[in-house]
Amino acid sequence: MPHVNSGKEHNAIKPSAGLSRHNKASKLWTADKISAAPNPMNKENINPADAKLSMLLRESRIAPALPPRFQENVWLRIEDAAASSKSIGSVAWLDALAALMLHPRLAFASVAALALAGVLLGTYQGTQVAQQDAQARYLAVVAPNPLR
Amino acid sequence: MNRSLIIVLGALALGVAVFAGSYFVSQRACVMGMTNPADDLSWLHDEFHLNAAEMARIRQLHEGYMPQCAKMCALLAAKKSEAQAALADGTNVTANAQKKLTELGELRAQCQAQMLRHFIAVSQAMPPEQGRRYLAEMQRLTLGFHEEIEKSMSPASGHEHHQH
Repeated sequence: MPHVNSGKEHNAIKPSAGLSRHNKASKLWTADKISAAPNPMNKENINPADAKLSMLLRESRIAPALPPRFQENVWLRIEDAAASSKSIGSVAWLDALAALMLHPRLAFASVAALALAGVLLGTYQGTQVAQQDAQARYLAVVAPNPLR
Repeated sequence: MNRSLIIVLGALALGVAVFAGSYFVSQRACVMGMTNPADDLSWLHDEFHLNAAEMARIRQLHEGYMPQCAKMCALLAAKKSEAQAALADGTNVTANAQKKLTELGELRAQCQAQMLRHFIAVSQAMPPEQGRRYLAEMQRLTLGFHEEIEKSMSPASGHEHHQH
């Protein structure tokens, strides 16, 4: 049931309240009046004549003929959309990886880990090579090739 | 997409460069730091964890062995030249060539026996466990080659002498 303002609230404002207060009150009264206007979308306001009219309008609307190969084209567009979403997925993966690599902390940690791994492996290999060289030198001195 | 691809490829290239650079630099530094070209016995010290007294004894043995080894090597080289000259004379193995080959073999065996005696003396100057390991390693390195040849010539390995 819509609320109808009788205007009593407006009249209830005391004249001694001053001009500014009076203006505010009048704005409130106007807003209240607007909100009290009947809403055409309200179900309660549906007029049976309007329902008839809208039914007539619906019936009078002419359905256009579908273009040739409409259904096939719809399926093609669905397939294209699925394919493009797949390629977008791979691009997103690459973008995410690139963004991850650009994180300063992760980048520094990766570089440090790789450098450490390189140093450890290099030291291990260097030790092996140095030992082999030293062994070959000793062997060349005590056991010349014709004896081996 | 192109930007992301460039970033990923650049990061991978940087990672490879960092790893390879640190690997080669540390390997080179390690080889240069550990190698002592002036001392031929540094391998014994490092490999068999010998103390100063053991190293001094081994150095003494080594210095005593070196002139004998040089003398034997000179004799071997001379005998090898004689054998080659005898073989170069004709297409047949002459009696002289056969004699030279036998002498070369005997000299080589004497030289190997002398070398093994030196290895045994060195191994006895080491702690027992290290000595055993040294002797096994030296026999493997010096005589292992012949063993491989002999093994490859055995019938079990498929080497057969067909009778015609």
